[in-house]
Amino acid sequence: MYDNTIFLAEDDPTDARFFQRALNNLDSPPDLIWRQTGQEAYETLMHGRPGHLPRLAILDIKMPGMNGLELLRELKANDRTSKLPVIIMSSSDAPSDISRAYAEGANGYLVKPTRFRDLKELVSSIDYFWIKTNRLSHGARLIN
Amino acid sequence: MPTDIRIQDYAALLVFDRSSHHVTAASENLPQTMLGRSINEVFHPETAAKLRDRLAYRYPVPVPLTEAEPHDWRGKQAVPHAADDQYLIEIEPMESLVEHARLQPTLRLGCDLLSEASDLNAALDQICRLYCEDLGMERALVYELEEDGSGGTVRNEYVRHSSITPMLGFRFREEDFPREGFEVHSEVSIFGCAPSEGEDYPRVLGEISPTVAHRAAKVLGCRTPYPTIVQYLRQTGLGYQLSLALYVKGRLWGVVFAHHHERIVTDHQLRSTLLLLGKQLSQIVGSHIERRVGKGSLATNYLRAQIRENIASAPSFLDGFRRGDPSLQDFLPHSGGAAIRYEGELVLLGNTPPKRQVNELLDWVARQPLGLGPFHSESLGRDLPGRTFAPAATGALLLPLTRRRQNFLVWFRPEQLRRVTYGSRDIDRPDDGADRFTPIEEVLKGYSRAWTDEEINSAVGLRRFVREVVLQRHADLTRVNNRLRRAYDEMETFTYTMSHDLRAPLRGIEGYSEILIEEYGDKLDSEAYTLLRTVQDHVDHMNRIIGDILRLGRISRSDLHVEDCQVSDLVADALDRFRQKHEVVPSVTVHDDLPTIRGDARQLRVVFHQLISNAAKFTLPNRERQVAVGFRPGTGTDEGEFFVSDNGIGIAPEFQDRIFGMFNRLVGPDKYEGTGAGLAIVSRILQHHGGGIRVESESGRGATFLFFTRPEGEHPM
Repeated sequence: MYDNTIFLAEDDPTDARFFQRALNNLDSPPDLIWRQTGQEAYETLMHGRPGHLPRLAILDIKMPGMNGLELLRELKANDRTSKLPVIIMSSSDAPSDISRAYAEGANGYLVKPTRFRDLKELVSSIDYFWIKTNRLSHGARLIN
Repeated sequence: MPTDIRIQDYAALLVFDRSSHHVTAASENLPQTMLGRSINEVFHPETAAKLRDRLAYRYPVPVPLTEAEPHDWRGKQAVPHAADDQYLIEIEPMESLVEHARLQPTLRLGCDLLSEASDLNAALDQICRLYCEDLGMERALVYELEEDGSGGTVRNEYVRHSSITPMLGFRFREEDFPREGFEVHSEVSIFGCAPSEGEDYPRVLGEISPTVAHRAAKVLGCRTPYPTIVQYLRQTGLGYQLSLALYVKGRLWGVVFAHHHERIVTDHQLRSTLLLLGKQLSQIVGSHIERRVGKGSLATNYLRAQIRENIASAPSFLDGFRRGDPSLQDFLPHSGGAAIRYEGELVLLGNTPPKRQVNELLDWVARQPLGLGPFHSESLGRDLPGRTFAPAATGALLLPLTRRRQNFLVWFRPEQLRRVTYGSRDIDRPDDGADRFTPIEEVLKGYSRAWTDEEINSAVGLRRFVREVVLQRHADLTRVNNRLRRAYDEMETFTYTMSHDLRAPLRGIEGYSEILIEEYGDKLDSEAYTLLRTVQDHVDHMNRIIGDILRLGRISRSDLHVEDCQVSDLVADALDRFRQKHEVVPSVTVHDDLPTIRGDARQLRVVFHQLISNAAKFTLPNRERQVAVGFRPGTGTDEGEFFVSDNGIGIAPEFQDRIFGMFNRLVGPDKYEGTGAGLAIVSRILQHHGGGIRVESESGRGATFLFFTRPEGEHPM
């Protein structure tokens, strides 16, 4: 079962705070679970309540210890988490990083916007596509 | 060691015991009753006393034998030779072709002639003439030996008697007069040979110690000759030979032969005179050889210094060798061609065999256990049997440059045909009935001019120079280059990481100022609002700069997907992109029939986009914007340039080198927006393609940017 939750793995508190703020801007924002290291993120996702997973995981690449791509690999390799949609959100726009992320099974790659205004728009778009619209596949209602 | 002494039959020999002065041995042609007698019984006591005294002299001095002697020694003299615990008395006729009184003046004449002679050849001619005109011989010649031991040549001759056949220019093989045959001159350089009718050389019978016998064979005037000499004299109808060996720096250089058609005798005094003359002649030969070598060096030293200069000052190692002024082959005169192989690249100069053959030769030599030694040959065909070589490479001198790799310096010499008269038949030829010493003319094929010691040494010297100066420098440069490359890569990585890390705080600045506007917007007056927006503008600017830095770094690291691109397509793509950000698109005139531009399409699109954007941006007011894209063909080997030109504000000449640098803006951002990295990126892309960019412009008169790519021509930076 997928909760109305977004999971964020991000080591920079400022980026995480901005993300939260952008979320709060939405009508009926989803909950946010934030973890600061790859290891913590892994623990949380693996050992969460059985049968419960967030709707979407957003991973930064650069994190101390296990980085975002390694975490992505682990998630896709594990039965419990393999179907969890994962977006990589990174400050890097290097084509090599992008192709590596998709090679590891990422469902999307987004470059962190430099302007907060743009982050707000991006978060809104993520919410609409991944959270609200997702319910459609379970035969439930379309949310405006 | 033979205790069997034989002597020529014109003489006789007595051997005495040193302490008892009794005869211990006597030659067969003396009465054997002499054995055991005391010296005073064999000779008159006065004669005996003189003989004993003269044993102490350093060199033998003869004692004339008189009628007072117990034995009939008329017309003879006794020559004493000390020999260990015995001594030898040689008895020979005391007569000569010239009277003894004339020997001293003849010797003086000879010395004068040698001193005055203008060169070696003149000196040798004079000696031959002296032998005949002043000493009464019927023919004299100088036989010079080949350095490689393959025989010798008659290089000077004087003939006084008509019955004697001249031999000037004749070449003899080693077998004709083998080295052992010249051993007879090793102690006493003069030797007279009167071959007897039969093969009889009288033996010396009695008790002789081995050391004395050995000495006898070396010092006696009547010692026996080598068999081929006798064979030669018989076949050529000569009755007597006098040979004078010339030793230069311990090595047998040649022999002066004098002949008489009758069987004659020469005595000790004549031979001693000639021996002295021979010593002076040897000196002259020696100094001539030195002078000739020295002169050679002087003449070519200048040339060689120039060649070294060329090599040391050339930008790349092989370029120095490629120069023709003078060329490497001039380093060793009479070389038709030269070659150098370094790190797999072969450079041929002058007349050489084709590359494939040279490489094969070098590969073969590389396999031989030579180390760094020089390999030289006057006949590759002879020394490397089973392989054929182009005529240009009849002879070759090869020097390895480095121990491990197959790198070489090579010189080639062409064939030098020589017509040679041999003084003898080849003994390996089937017998055609002729005598052995019958002259025969042959053409010597398959040989080049010989490589002298001086030339080989000079080549080794050049090799040393190349190794020390040039290869060392090359290694240093390579090391520095690698270090620079590593430092450059580290710097690139650093720049990349740093640029990324700078973006995080920028997000913070921008975000918080945005949050400020959101939360406190109603409390801010328009001034405060403007200030905050200004902060955000600056953050935007900084982000753009970081973006440019990152993009620039990425270009150098990128792989190129090289193809032929249509310029019109690239321009169309650039305009599409322009359209996304601007309302008004410049009208760009693309010339017809443009060649394709070779490179990575994605990166080339950036080039055209940037140049067209610049052209569109830096316009003059009140002038209708005109942008053109075309191609300017090159001249000769120049491949031509593409260009983007405009009629905008132009660039003054004094600023033209700066514009391709990072962030170098010539105009303020308030007049024309941009970070100033555009041209740096374009320049980097074109460099990465092995090409470049330049500008032609004047202030106020527009600008033309000319560029080209050569992606296969160079290693991309």
